[in-house]
Amino acid sequence: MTSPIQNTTAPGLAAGRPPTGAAVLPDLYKAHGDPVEERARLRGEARKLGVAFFVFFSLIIGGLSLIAFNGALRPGVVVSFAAPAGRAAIDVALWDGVTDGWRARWSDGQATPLDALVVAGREAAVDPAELKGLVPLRLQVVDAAGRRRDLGAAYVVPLGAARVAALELPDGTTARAVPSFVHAVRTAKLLGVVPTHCLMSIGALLGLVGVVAPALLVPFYRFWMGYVAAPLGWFNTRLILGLVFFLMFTPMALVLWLKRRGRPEDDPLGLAERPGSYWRRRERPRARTHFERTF
Amino acid sequence: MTYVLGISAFYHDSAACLVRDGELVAAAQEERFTRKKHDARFPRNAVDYCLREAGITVSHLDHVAFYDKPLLKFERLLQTYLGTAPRGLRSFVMAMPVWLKEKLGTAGLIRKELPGYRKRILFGEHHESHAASAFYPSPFEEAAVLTIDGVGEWATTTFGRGKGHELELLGQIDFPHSIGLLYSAFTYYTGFKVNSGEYKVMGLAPYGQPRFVDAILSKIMDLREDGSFHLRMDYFDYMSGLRMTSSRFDDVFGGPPRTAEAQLTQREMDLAASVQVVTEMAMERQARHVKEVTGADYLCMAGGVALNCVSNGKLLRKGIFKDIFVQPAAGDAGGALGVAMAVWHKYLGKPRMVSPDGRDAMKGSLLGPAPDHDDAKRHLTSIGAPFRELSEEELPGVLAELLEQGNVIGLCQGRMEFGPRALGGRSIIGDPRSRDMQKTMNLKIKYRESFRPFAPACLPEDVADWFEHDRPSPYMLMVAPVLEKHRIAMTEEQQKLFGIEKLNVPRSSVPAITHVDYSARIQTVDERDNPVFYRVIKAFKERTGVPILVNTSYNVRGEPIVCTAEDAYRCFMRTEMDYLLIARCLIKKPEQPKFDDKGDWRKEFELD
Repeated sequence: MTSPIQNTTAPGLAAGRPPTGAAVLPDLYKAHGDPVEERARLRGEARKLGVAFFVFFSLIIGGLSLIAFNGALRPGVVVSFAAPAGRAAIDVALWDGVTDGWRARWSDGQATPLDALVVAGREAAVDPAELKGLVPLRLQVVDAAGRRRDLGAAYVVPLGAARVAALELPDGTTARAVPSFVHAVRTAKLLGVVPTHCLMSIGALLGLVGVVAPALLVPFYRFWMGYVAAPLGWFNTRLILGLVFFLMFTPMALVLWLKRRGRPEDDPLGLAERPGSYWRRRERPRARTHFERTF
Repeated sequence: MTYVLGISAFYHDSAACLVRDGELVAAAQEERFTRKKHDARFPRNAVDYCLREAGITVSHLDHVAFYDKPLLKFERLLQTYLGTAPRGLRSFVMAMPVWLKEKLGTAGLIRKELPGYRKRILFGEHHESHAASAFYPSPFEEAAVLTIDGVGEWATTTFGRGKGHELELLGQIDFPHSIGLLYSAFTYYTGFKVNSGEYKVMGLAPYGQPRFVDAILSKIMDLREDGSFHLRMDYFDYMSGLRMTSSRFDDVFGGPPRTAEAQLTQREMDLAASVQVVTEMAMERQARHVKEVTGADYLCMAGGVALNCVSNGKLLRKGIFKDIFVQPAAGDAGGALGVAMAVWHKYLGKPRMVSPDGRDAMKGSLLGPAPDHDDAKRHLTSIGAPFRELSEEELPGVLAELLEQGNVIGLCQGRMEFGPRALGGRSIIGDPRSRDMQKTMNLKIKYRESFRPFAPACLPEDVADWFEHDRPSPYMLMVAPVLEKHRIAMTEEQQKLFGIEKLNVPRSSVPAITHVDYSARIQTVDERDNPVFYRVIKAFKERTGVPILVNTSYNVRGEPIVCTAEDAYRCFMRTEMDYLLIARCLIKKPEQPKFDDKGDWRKEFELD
């Protein structure tokens, strides 16, 4: 049903129709709760919810978890590419925030504590205390012809740690460290428990469905609004407003009450009885511009 | 041409009103379209309708105005919480979310609903809107104005003076002291719903004895000679709580509030009678004060309390003013009309023309949509409903004959009424001489309490012949006694009956519209405003000698008054009405196909 609010022409004016009311009835027959409009509204709302999920889980929670929450894991720097006998090559060496030591994580998934850091045969002078901030990195190899080749292994080094920004590899080529979003996404965990990439995938999926086929999201929308959003909102509202009321309003009320004691003329709510008339004289006529204010 | 759109919304009874060059083009309440009583959402459908009626779109609007000042109201709320904390948490938690989310951004909400409108949104003060709705459409060049309601921003009662297009408020009484809230407190206490049950309290009052008047005036209220007053807040709970009255109130009036739908006892009737008397006293004193200050000959009234037609009638008969005009949409819906008129006359400074024939500018308050005859025919045919098409000439005679035979007829013809009363556009009508009519209509058609009285729709030329009332009362806002000569005196035995038992004793030759105290809520029907209804009454008078019909609103209890032909047909089929007139189509109940109703419709409307 089109609303005249969106119309740009004025049919009644053009037809010179007198204001009798007759013109509107056919549409009013079906004006009440049009089901087509209602479905369209629900789809729009479902789409908004999908996009909101994408923004919240994929961008905000994902980003925060990448930037901040992974701090506890403290990934370190690459130290060596030489594998001891019977072992696969070392992929990544990590600074373990729990034991405060370096660990080698082997490509078969096991980890061993390391005694020292060795980079290209030399002990690396990396002080764990300098590891501040985190940048996900990816190893690239620059060959003799100057082309870059991606080794595929991912690293994380502290921001500004220039000494590991480029590593000379045993075969003579140079490994350069570049930021790797994919690695960060794959390893980061929200609060150390929930894998960030799961959350981000859920957000992206809902966002995509919301944009492409919002009708599919309508049942989820109903569930979310009814069983998750409403109770959460109910609780939050009471919590926050309760705090505002008791931490702001009540002390202010107390202060005002103390200030007013013994001064009966200071009575903004007019609770005290007084002699004479209770009529209050209005201020002199107001300027017409008072219509332009909301107060 | 200059178009001003007035809007009332977000509290109760949202509405829209369109004024073109100072003339009322259209006005309607949102509840009629959404079928949700007292719908407070933005009046989207009502705005749509108003624009269509004028044949314009949003882009043609020159000014859009809201009927009160949200920020002032918010300030009042905060002040109240500061005055009552640490009490008031629950009310705070209820009120704040809506304010923070919506009401503080009222201008934005309105803009969102009116895409294409880029000019300023104007805000009138609540009681200025009421005052404007009372004075500007009134038939008086110069008059005093009195507005009384629950509460607006701060004011609950104001008075002022209007002359030409100038209107100035001179004095006011502020929240929490309020006649409207006092009445609401008794509405709550007698077990009715606040904001809609006040009418029932007024209807109940004549069954009781005002034995609590002294208690009200000595304990809970200080009413001064000049009509100003003070409510003692220990007895009320509405400032900080979710109830109207406090436990101290219960102590004064002997017990807790009646629970909704419980048996009505003599105590409730006495309470109703008492608060009614106090309201009348306050209004009379206020009117005298206003007369003294302004010296005006005429009075205009608006605000919810001005819908108290019993008080209005008594005030008129006191003769303090030569005449009184009450805005038919005196409640908050009328604020939309008031603010639109105020923008035209006060903000734009345009002159005001008073009709030389002494008529007001409300057009009989018939400002809503009308069913078109051809559309109605098409609709009825499409749903397979048999009907008889009446010519304009035969219509009054046919209806009068049916009425005389005791049939109850639904009317859905002409433009819909603006304001709470049905005035013949969307009415149920019947023969007032019938002894059972009141009971039949209440219990079988409206499904509501049997004590509630019905109003007489009367020819204006005959009103003085039947009632102690000598002038038009087109909006059913004046109650006057039925003349002695039409009354039936009660026998001694009947005198002894108490309260509602008296209901079954016919009090006059038109018992259906005569209340137990011989009063009647008069409506006079103007031939120019509502020609069809006028002619039906006239034809009824020619047949029976009685120039009166019972007129009640076309709805069942808790339902908004019907709007469209479809609403009318649905309501007709659900109740025990005999005939229905839509435009000029007459529909007879027994001929109708079986009506397929979804679910239990009686649960569709919450009891009011």
